[in-house]
Amino acid sequence: MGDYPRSNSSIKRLKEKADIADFILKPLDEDDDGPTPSMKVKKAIRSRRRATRNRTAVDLSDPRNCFVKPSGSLIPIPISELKPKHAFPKDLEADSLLGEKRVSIISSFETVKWNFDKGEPEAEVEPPPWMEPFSCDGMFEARYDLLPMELILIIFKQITVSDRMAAGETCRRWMEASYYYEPFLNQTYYHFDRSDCGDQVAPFKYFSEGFRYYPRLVFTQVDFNKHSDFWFNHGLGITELTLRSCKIRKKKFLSIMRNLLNLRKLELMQCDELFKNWNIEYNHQEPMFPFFMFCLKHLSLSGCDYFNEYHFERFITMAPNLSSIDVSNCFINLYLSKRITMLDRVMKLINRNRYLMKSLNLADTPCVDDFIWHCLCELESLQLTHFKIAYSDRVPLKDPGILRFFGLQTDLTYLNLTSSIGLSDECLQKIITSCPRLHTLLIRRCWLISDEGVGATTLTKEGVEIVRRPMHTLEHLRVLDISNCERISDFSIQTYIIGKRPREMNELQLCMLNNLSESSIYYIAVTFKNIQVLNLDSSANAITDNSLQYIMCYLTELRDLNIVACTKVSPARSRPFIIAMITLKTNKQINKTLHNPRLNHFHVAIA
Amino acid sequence: MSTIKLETSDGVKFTVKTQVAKCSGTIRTMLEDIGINPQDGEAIPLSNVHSTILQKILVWAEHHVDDPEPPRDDADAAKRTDDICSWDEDFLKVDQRTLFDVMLAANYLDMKQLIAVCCKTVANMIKGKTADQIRKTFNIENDFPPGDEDKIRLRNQFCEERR
Repeated sequence: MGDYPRSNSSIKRLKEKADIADFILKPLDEDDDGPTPSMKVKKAIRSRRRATRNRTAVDLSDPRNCFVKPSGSLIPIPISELKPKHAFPKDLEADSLLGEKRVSIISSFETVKWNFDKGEPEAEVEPPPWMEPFSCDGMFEARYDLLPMELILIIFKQITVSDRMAAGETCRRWMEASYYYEPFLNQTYYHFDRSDCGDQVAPFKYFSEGFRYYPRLVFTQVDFNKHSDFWFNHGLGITELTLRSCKIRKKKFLSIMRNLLNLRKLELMQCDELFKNWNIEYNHQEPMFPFFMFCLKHLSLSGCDYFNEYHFERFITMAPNLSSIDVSNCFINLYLSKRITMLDRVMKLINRNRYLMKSLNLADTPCVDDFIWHCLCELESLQLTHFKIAYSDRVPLKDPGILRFFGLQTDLTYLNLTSSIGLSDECLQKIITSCPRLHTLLIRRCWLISDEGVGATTLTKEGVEIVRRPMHTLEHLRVLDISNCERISDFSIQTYIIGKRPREMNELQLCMLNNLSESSIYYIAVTFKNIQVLNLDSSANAITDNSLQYIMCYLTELRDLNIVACTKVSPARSRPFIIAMITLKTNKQINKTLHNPRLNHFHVAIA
Repeated sequence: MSTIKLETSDGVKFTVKTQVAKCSGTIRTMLEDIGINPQDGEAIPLSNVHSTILQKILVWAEHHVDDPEPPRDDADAAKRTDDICSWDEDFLKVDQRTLFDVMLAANYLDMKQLIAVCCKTVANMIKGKTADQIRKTFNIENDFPPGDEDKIRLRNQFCEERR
C-alpha cells in the first residue's frame, strides 16, 4: 500500500495540483473486490510500481511519475495496452480491463493518452469519416479507397468487367461501387454451371447469406434437388432467370417461382424434365400456377419439346403482361397436328397481348408458312420491334403474306431471317422500303437474295428502268450479316450496300462470299471508319496484302477481325502485321507503335 | 486581360487570368452566378486546395484553356482510355499522392476534362492487375472482415459479362 503514492495526503496534494474536483475516486487497491483484472495489465501495473518504488522522493507535479487520467483514476496504463483507435466511453479499455467500474463525467470525454517518454499528453482525436483523407497534419493522405463515389464510378466505367471485379475485391468501398451501381449490375450475370445448389454446399452457400442481390442468374445443367433459402431471401431481387438443361421438377419449380415476384425474364431452355413429369388432366380447372407474375415480360421456352398446349396455356395465364415470347426450336418432335395446335396457341397469345407484344422469336419452328404470315397480319395494332423467324417455303405468287407483313410492321429494329431460304428479292425490297428503323439485319444463308434485292436498278425487256431502293439508305443500320448470300455480286455490295456516304456501322459479317473483292474492302475501310467487328471468314478473294493494310490503316476501332481461310495473304509480305498483331495480344507494350491498339480478337490461319 | 486572385488553403495567393480560372466550373459559377467581382482585388478562397496542387492545376488549365467544349459523353466514349494526349500523359506522370490530390482538387473545382484524364490514368493503372496488385499500387487498406474476402472472390468467380 505504501509503495505507491496514494495515501490521503498525497491525494490531497494531487487535488490541489491537478485541480480536480471532489469526485476523485478511491485509489486502486490490489486486493480489490471487483472482478480479477487481466494478468497482462496486472503485470504491467506491478512493473510500473517497481519502478516507482525505487525512487526516494516522488514529485507528484511531474506527470511522468503519477499518471493521472482525467477521470481521476490513479492507474498507470502502459502505452502498449492502449488501443490506437479512439475507444468509446462504454468500453474504456483500461477500466474494463482492471475490472473496476468508475463512473465519471470526464470519462465520457476523449481519451487522453499520456506519453511517458516525451512527458506531454497527446490527445487522440479520430477524424470523422467524411474528412478521412486528411491526415492529422491537415495534409492529404492518398487514400484511393476513400475517393468520392462519383470519381470511383468514372474510373470503373472505363475498365472491363473482370478488371472491375478485381478492383472490387480490394476494399469495401470499391466493392460497393462495383456491385451496387445499376449500369454495372446490368453488364453482368451469375452463371452456375453444373454446380450444386444447396444451402450446405460451398459456393452456393455464400450466395445465400449476406445482404446483396443478384438480378441475373443463369443455371446450366444444375440439379435442383436440395432445399435452399436463397430463393426466399433473394427472390425479390431477381429480375432475370435462365434455366438451361436443368433437372427440375414441378414442385421445386413452383416453390422457386413463388418467390420471384419481380421476375421480368424467364428462360427455360431444354428443360424437358420439367414438362415430362407434369401431368395435367384435361378438364382440370385448377390453374397450374396458383399465383400471377405481373412483371414477367419475356418468356422463352426455346428447345423444350415436351410441353403441350395445356402447359402453355397455363404458363401464359400466369403472366398476363408478356411482351416477348420465344418458342424457337420447339415443337420439332411433335406430330404435325400437334404442331399446328401449338402454333395456334402461340397465335392466340400474340392476339391476346397484341398491344404489348414487342418481340417474337419463331426461329427453327416448323410449319411456318404463308398462312402464319397472314395470321400475323390479321392481328390489328401488333407492332413488333424484334422479330426472328426462319421461313423456308417459297413465296407464293398470289398475295404473299410475307410482303403484307413487312408492309405493316414498320417499327422493326431487329430482324433476323437467318436461313430463310424462301426469302426473295421482292421481300428484301419490301423490308428496306418499309422498315426505316432497322438497326440489325441478319440474312445469313438467304440464298435467293440477288442484286435486285439489295437495290440494283434493272431494265425490263421494253427498256423501262425499274428503280429500287438501295440497302445503304437504311439510316440506322448498325449490324449487317449477308454471309453466304453468294448471288449478290461484288459491284452490288460496293454500290448498294456499302455506298459512298461515310456512316456508322458496328458489325459486318461477310463470310463465304467468293465474289467479294479487294476493292470492296477498300470501300468498307473508307466508309465505315468506326466498325468494330469484321468477319471475312473464307472470303478468300477479299483479303490480300493490300486490303489487309487498308484494314489496319483505316479501321482504328476494330476489335474483332476474322480472316480465317483467306489464302491470298502472302506470308512474306504480311508477316510483319500478323506477327505484330499476335504479339499485341500478349504484350501490351506494342500498342503505341501500331495503328490498331484495340484489336482484341484476331483469328488467322496462315502457315 | 483581366485577372483574379485565388487564395489556397495554406494562404498562398495566386493571380490568374480570368479565362484560365474559368476552366473551373466552381469558380465560373462564383463569378457569373453569385456575382463575386474579381476587380475588387479580393481573393477567392479555395479552402480545399493546397498551393502546390493549385499550381499544378493552373499549369494544366493554361495549356487547355483553348480546348473546345467536350462533346456529350456517350456510353462508348467513356470506355476508351487510350486517348489521353501525350502532354497530359507527361503531366500526370506523378506519384500516387499528387495524382490523388489533383483528382480531388479537380473534383472540387469541377473541371470535367481534368477529372476525365485523371480517371483514365487511374483506370489504366488498374487494368490487368489482380486485387493484391491493385491494393499495392494504390496503397489500399484491406478493410474486409477476415474470411469475407475469400467469399467475395468465390462469388466473383461465378460472375460473367453479359453480351
